[in-house]
Amino acid sequence: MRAILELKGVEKTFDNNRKESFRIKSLDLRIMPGETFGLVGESGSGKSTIAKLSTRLVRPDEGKILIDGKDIAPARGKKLKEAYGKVQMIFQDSYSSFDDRMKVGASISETIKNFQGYKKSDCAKEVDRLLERVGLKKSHLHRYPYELSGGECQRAAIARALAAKPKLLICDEATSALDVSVQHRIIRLLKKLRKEVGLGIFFISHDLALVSSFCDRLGVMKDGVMVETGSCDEIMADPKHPYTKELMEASLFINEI
Amino acid sequence: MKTFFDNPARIRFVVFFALCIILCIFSLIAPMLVPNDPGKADLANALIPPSQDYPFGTDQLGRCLYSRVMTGAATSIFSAFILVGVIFTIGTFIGVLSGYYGGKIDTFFMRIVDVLLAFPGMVLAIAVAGMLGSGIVNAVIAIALISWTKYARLSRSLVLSIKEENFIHAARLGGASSLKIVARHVIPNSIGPLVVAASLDIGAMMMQLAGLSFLGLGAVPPAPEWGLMLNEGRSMLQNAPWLLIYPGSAMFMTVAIFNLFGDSVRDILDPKFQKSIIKTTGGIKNA
Repeated sequence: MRAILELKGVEKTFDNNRKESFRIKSLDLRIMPGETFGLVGESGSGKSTIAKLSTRLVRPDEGKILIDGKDIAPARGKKLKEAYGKVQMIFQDSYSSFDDRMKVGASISETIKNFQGYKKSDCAKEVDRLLERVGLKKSHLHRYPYELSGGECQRAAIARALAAKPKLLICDEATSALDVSVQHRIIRLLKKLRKEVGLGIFFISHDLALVSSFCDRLGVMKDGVMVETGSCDEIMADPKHPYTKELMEASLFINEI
Repeated sequence: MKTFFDNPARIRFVVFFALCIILCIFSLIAPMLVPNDPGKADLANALIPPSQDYPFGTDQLGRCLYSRVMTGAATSIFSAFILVGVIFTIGTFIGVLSGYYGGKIDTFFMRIVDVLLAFPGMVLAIAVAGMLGSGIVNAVIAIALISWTKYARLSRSLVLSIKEENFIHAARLGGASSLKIVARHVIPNSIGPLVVAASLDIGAMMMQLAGLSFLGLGAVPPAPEWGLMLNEGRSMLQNAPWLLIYPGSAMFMTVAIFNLFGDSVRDILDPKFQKSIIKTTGGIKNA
């Protein structure tokens, strides 16, 4: 079976000032269609960079980024758009991912128009359908992003990502800025989507407990290196790398409090 | 409408905008209202002080100064509009292009900008206008050639900060082409400061055009143009001060009104002020 997203020997160095350069070293990653893959690691470990590399918002220095078997590292224009029809992404700060000058409905229908080429009336129907799917009301369509709550805005972002009918949704710390109850509802929504449309999810978070609760496989990152990968149960039962142990202890410790 | 006029900045904006419109309309219909033909020389009546027949007096050739000041308004105002329009469009286009695409395009245009900024602006404009020959169109071209740089730099820096925003990334993920992203997201989000710069520039550009005309590089006699009229009256300052007072005051008033208009545009487009609008309409992020 062909992986939906595969990173092969990807390297990326940020050299903003000479003292501190940040580096992703020769990273490999495979995500199969319909799979839920969780990536955990501390701040600055390169999780978000992986997300941005996977959607080619950041260009890698070395290596291949295969989406459904096609390398997008050198791709531009149409080829990149084709890849975005398969892999979509939502951001930590959902407010900043919407143009403040456009109503939420307009942002969503822009994506629909770009990918599906629907006419205006079909487009409106599709927007309604997507909003219902993510649990938003029709009235949310005519609001500006800053008029929505954090959870609603993240739902709208998910609706926009779904408009491209992707096979994989990358969630870059998508629930980290939300409070716990809202976080749970978003996770429930993601689970529902996984079941209903067979959506693959690449879930990036610093919260090991959360990730382990609903992911099939798990990757642990530290300082730009994937230190451990494996099935979720395996890693939780028997962590190999000391950093994974440390992470687990930390999350257990918080749960005990 | 009550909320609209709650803020004094908005009241100021409406007042100065109305004044500018009145000024523009007035300058357009002025040729129909003037008592005398602004171009008709009558040496028998040269240098008459302000009187009943000639409200602002007459110049060396006996032309009615009032008629000339009034008909000259359109030249000054609309050539300044055209000039600002041209530099705004060209400068913004080049700035957005180099900011968004970066690389060689950026280097190319920004080095041109650096070179142009290394010259003192007015001196360069004089040189260009001198080469092109006099005439109000050539004066506009000369000033446009040196003034677009400001808009290019401003729009470039705005685009540079906006293009790394998440909503641009999201739009790209949403399958939008570069052209669409620029047209629908980058330009609408960076246009505010540019519009402010343009509205503040109208008065300054009027002064520059009048300056070139004063130096004999802009409007050609016998055109009624304020800068040119100041030049013609210059030698008569002691005998016939009205030759300088009236065109000078007209210039002063017009530039002042457009500058105040520019200030009020800046005030209402100020980010701080916009935040207060969001607050008053109850649209605070309640995450």
